Amino acid sequence: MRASSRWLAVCTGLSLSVAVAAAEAPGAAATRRQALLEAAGRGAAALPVLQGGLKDANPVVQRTAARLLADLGAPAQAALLEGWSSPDPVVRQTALKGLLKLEAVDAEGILGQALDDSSNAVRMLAVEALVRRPRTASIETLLQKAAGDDDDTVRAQASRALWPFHRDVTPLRERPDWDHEVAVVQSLPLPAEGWRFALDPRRDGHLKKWHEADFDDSAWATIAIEQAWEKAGHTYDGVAWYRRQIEVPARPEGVINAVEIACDGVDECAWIWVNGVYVGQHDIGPAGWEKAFTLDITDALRWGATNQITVRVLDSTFAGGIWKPMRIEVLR
Amino acid sequence: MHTRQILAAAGLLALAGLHAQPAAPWQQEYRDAEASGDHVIALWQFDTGKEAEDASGHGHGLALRGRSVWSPEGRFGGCLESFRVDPKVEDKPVGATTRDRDTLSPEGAFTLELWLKPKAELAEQSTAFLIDKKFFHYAKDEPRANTDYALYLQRHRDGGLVLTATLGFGKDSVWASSKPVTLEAGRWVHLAYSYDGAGTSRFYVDGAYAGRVVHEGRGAITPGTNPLIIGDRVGSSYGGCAGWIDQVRLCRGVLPWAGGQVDINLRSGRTVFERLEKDAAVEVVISNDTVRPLPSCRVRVELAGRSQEEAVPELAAGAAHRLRVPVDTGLKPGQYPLRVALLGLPGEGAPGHEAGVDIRILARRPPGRFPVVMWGSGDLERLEYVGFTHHIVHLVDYRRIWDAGKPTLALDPGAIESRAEVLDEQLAHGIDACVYVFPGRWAAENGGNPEYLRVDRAGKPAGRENASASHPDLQRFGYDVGASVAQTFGKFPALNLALVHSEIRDGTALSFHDFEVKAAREALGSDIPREAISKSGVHYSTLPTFPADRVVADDDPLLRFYTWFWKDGDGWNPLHTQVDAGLKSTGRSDFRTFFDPAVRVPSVWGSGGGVDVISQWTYSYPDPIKIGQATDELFAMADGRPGQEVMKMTQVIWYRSGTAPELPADEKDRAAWEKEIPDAKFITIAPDHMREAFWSKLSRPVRGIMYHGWGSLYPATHAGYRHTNPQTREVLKELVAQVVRPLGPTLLQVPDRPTDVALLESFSSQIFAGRGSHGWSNSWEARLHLILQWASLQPRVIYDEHIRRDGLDQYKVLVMPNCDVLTASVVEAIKAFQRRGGLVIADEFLCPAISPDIVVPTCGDQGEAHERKAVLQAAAAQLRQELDPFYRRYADSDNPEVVPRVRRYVTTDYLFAVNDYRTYGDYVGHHRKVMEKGLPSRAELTLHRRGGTVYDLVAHREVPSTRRGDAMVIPLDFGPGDGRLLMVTDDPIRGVVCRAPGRASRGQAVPVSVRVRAGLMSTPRAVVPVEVTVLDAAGAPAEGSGYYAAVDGRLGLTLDLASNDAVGTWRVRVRELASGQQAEAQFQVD
Repeated sequence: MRASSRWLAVCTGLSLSVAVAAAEAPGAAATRRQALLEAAGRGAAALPVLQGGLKDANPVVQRTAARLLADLGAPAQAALLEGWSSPDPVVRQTALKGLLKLEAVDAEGILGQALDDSSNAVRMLAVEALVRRPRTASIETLLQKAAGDDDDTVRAQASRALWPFHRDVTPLRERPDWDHEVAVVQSLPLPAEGWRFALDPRRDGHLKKWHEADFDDSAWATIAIEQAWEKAGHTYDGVAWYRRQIEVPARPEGVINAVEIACDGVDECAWIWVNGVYVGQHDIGPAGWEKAFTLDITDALRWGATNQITVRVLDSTFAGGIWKPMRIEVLR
Repeated sequence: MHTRQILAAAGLLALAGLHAQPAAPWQQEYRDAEASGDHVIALWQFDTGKEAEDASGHGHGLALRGRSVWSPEGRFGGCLESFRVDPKVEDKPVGATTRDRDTLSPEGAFTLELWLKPKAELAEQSTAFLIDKKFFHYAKDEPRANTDYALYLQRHRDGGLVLTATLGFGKDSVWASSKPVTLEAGRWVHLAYSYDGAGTSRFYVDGAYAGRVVHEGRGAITPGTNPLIIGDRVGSSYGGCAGWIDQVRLCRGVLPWAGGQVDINLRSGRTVFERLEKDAAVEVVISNDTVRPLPSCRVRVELAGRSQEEAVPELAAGAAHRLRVPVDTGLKPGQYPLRVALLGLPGEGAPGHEAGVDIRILARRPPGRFPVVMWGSGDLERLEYVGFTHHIVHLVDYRRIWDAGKPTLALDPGAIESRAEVLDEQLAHGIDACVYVFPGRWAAENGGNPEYLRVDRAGKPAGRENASASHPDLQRFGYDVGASVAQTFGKFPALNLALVHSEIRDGTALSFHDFEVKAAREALGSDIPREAISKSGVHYSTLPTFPADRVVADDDPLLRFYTWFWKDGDGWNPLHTQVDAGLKSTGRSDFRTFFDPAVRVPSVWGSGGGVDVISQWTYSYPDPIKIGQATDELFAMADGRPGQEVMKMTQVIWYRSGTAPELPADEKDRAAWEKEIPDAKFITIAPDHMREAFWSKLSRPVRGIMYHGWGSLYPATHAGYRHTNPQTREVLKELVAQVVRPLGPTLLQVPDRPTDVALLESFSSQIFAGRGSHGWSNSWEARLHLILQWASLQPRVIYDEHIRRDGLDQYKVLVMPNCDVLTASVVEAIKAFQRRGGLVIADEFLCPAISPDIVVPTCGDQGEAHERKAVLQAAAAQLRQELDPFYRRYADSDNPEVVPRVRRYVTTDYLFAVNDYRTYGDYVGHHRKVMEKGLPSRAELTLHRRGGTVYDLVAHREVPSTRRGDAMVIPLDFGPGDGRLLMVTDDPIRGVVCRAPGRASRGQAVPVSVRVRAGLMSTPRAVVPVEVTVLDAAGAPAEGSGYYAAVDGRLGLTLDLASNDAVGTWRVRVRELASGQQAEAQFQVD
């Protein structure tokens, strides 16, 4: 959902209570809010007053009440459960945060409900809580549900938590135990043209085996690398995949200490497979867009053969894609 | 033509007459030994039938280039005809060429000479090459650009010509110019240049001495490999000389007639002074530039009717005697001829024995001139027309200072002289100079050490080239450059501002040289965290153990590292502190330094280091009140360094891509400028945007305003900037004349009104969630600021550091855009703020540890300009509805298109209002990216104060107001893009009183007091703008006239009468600019 439509959706939700608030005598809501704040100083004794605040006509007063109830902790559990069913999404968020701190609450049950909430913010809050919990089967199930959320932000958070591919890679030149000069004895530029390309807005391409060597990408669009995908007409932030077959010559003579795939710039994160073998990632967040990186592909590359290169790219803002050259470097 | 130039030119003509003796060797056609003697390297005489021959017999034959021809109409027989080349119609170089040979690069001293008969069009040329073997007549740090020599005519800034030589010394080059030269079309003139192989350049015109420049520490030139060209440049850059050239000779050694003479130089120091300057003096340098001792003599100095004589000791060959001629700056403003003559020498009155220059004494400026800086360079007349107070100059030879390894002269002495003249001229025009210094950038590019450039963890160059500014060599060099400028030019009052390293931190990067890793370890007590790869931070989603509530410890290692990096670690802030210290090293108290764009960094204090002022570049589109948002960010940054001030720059240029990207296919759909300049990359800001941006920044307590884009303000040669809207310049001129000049002194005295609305720009969220506006004014943080402005809120931008230092007690509303991640201390402070009733306004990204009171979801980044504005204004309206039951604004507007803002002095409000009502016009509106056309508007402004009287400070009149409840209501009409400045005082202004003593004598100080009356005896607790006009006995405006600020309604002036002021009745007229009331005092001067 675009930002402006999100705004309209929230506005619609808020407009009724705001209209009520606007019709009040000047200062009345402020007085009621102040009364809640003062009452909160009495601790648990303030519970009835604060719980009553959840029913106030003004949403800001309701939110103040919810916050003060959350601060009260366990004594306010019932009130927070009431807040959890408030029509106001901010009150629900506050109540959810308060409830998740309480041991006596069925957290997984509430989080499950939260994933069905109409508010993106509430669902996002739930996913963030799920991500940090011990990964049980039920949590995994909830995350998989969240990975199919309508909102890309929610989906992204859940997908990241479920993402199955990871490999720690230290390029030869950065290995602290490698005390030798490293020379590039052969550099094979990857062609800029002729790549296959598909958007993956639901971030589930890997579940469709898009990384596998024999996946049929013939129906995909074609695209060139060394430019942002926006240049090819894809005005899009999110995940997309690049695939290309390349011809690799016979293995050079002599000692080879490593073969690496070098990317001068992917905006902004990348996960790479060579012949279906996962070789590593460049995943440092939005700051990665201008950072060159290399990944070891010594064991994945096939000499004197056709090789399948697959790159999954995530771009969260501005331009995206493989916008600088890629090459294979043979190191000695 | 400037007087000094007229004198110099006249002198040269007179000298030419004196030297028209048949015996002078240079007047002859060279034959025999003069043509082929051992000292002659090459001689081209272009005689008929052997035009291309080298008459010296050394075989340096010539070949013609382009359309140049041999002509029979030479000074002595034939000659070479050369041409001015218009690159639009031809692309071939002209002149004649001889191939390179070693002998054409003299090993020591040499003399170049030729005859030239100019064509009329030479007067239109800015550069005309006579002889070139150097190729590069501009500074370039490449060996090939710094060999051999070139001699050319160059347009002097006053319109005349100077003869200029440039010599290459391998690593760098030097330049020397003659005194101004007068050339007549169709008249042969002999031009000569000698270099003594030891640093001295001399010029001769028709045998007359035309100036000398000493290049300290120089020896023989470095030989190069270019051919020698006569009549054009080596490279085809269209430097062809429009004229006929004859008898070109290159000789070894300095020829006897080119060996110098006695010279009186009045140009080495200042000749323009302000009244009552202390220790004002003209430096007179008497040089014995001959090979024989100059006997002792006397020098007579005449200035302003006074004459004095003093002895000059015997001067050895090459020696100089410096004489300090005090200037009586107590004289009234005006021009006073200075005449200097050597007496008692053989041939008294001979050339070189007399010299003259006009000394100018200027009226002192009233205090509190509000800076209007052209961030760029223009010509003085047009700068003055608009009303600029400053423009940028370049005064540094970095190589010179780098090689010296310590503070030294910032430029070659010859170049200093020409810059001195420019600085004097600027002072006379009232256009001050802002020197641009960039030692770190220069050293990184030219210092020759890989450690001066940033590297990544693997030791590879780190992205964009950027200096490792914390390197000790660069830090030292920063100080040396600043100190060199101060020592060389500190005595010039026109130079009072310095720009340090513009746009440098955009390109910074984490760097991992050993000295940088060590510095981090020492500062942090630990190594740079391994997750730190990018300057932008580390996204929390990539950190597996990041807390679920997104609250980080205040001493989180990554946060500590990035805080250190952005404050000190990347080296730029400390380097700027060094440059600042160097520039201040001579003690100039009025000198100020600034850095920009200062907020293109995360929100952590310290940007700019120790500079006095920070500024920021901002483009006005799509919504010009974003200038206010950027200005507020600057104030947040400056809060971290007590005393640091803020200026604000508006870009005169607009990116074509952001305003009018696609040229309409059908010509009838194009704007006028698109038809004229379809390929313009940068266009001129629309006039109504200029207005709005101006008022938006002036409504903040800035200490000056700036504009960049001379080429879009006036037609200019800059390749990218195009002048597409002439009205913009006129708008700026009008605003400066009507607002800045009369009200500037007042604006400098009026602080901001403390606000109870804060907008947090969270450093921790920038480091861990990639947030932040980084000064670009188009992020969500910036858009939410616009929402607040349209909701008539007056936010103060604050950082995490503000909260830690100052708490939140002074605020009622805290706005938190993009605050995903917070530190524990900030969270605690915000919770306490909410517990005492503070209201938090946030978006959907808010750190889960905080529960907001009002949510403003992100919006306004999609659609056409009107759609975006509508969405943001709808959000503003929604916010008003939710907030208003709990919060009352001090100033309000019933029309969201009219944005109010208040500054305050004690009990007096200065209410600004900006009309932001706009639509699409016919300039760029058809592209639907910017609504550039202002529309008239009307608003009722409300001030919640007990009462008061309202004055329009621009119209100088009272404005009607009414009361509604506990508020004052002020109905106002606005023109397109218009702004208002209203002063609201407790009591009405009853009048103005001016008092002066009845009688005074010339040379006496006359106290004048001005009092703005709020009652019979009282004055308003206000800063009231006042115009003072002092008329001397002849009715002419006198020193003291100008605009002032009457603080608390009082102003004291002292008129320092000059010894030569007019006697009779003087008048002091005063007008206070709030209600327009006037008063006058008179006094008799005896």
